[in-house]
Amino acid sequence: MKRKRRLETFAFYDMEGIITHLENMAQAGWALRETGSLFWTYEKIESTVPIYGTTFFPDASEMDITPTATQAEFLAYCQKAGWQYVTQWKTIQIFQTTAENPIPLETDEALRLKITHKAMKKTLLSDHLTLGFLFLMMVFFSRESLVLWMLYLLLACYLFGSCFAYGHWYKQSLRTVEAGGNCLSVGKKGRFLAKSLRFLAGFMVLWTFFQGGSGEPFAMLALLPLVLAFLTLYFLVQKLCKKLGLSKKLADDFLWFFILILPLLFLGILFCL
Amino acid sequence: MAREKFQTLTEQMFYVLLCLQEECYGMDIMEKVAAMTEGRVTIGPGTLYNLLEQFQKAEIIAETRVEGRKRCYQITQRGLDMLEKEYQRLLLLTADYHRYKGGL
Repeated sequence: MKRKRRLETFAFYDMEGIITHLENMAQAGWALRETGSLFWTYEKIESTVPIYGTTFFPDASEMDITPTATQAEFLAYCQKAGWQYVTQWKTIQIFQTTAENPIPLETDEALRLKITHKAMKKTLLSDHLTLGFLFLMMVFFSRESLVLWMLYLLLACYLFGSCFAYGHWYKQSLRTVEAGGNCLSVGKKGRFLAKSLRFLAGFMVLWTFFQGGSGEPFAMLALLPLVLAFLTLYFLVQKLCKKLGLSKKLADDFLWFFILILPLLFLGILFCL
Repeated sequence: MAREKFQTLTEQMFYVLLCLQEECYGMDIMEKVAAMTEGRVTIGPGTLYNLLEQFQKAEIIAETRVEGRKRCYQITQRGLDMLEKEYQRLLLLTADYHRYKGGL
């Protein structure tokens, strides 16, 4: 079956945006099969165009090879209502159905917002805030290198900016839901901001390497393949942890060691040489 | 102002508790509520799953048995009291409507 991969950059809580995109892809003949941290895989479809639905399951983890017992029970509820499970993106569960006028996955906006917030606290917010403070600390430790200082500051701004954008959306949605309305749509501005921040952060990282920090642009250029190799290795290690069936905690601890300790060890060795 | 948890029940909460006066599989509640209300009230599977989890934590319902992936629940005395309280509240609303219909 023909497959293709696409780079997808959604705000994590942008359920409407994800559903609209998946349905547009389905109309164009491509159904979602798998999600990844950056790239999502689509498969060519010939027949019926499905409708998509998404919901959060806070206890899910991208490290789960198969759904846990509680998750399987949750999926069974959705299946009973006519929704077929497609895949998950972190704690977001993605479903499809070909039924006309299916029962929505969520019919209580207040509860939907509560579960969304629970999932966000567990995943995006904790990761982004931790990394944000880490990069902010690095800003102080890299004052002598303007390039590194800018890079760390920009990355910290990106991470805190994402948290702020979510916090703003959550507060506004809470207000409307308490008044009996629905959760707010992320909207074009929010989607544009999420994409822009991510591309800006990526662009600045690349720009930093090409500009060089200490008058040695070619040295920095030589480092770029190393960085790309590191990122590829990171994703492969993540897949390996999943295949080995490591628990979420063990996998997270191992990956944090990989992100933080190994680069520091490498820099230490380079410095000694 | 934020509603205190379970101080008043939403329509969906109300019908879930009404359903669970008799032991019932969680999964079957969606169909039962639709039948009880002739399709007027529908509960999504995500909402139902989360409601049952919340009700169980608050000891408003209790799990009675498990058969594979299917769990059975039934309302507790606390849940029955909550249901009765909500019914009385709705009666008050109805009485106020009849009393003041057309203006004060």
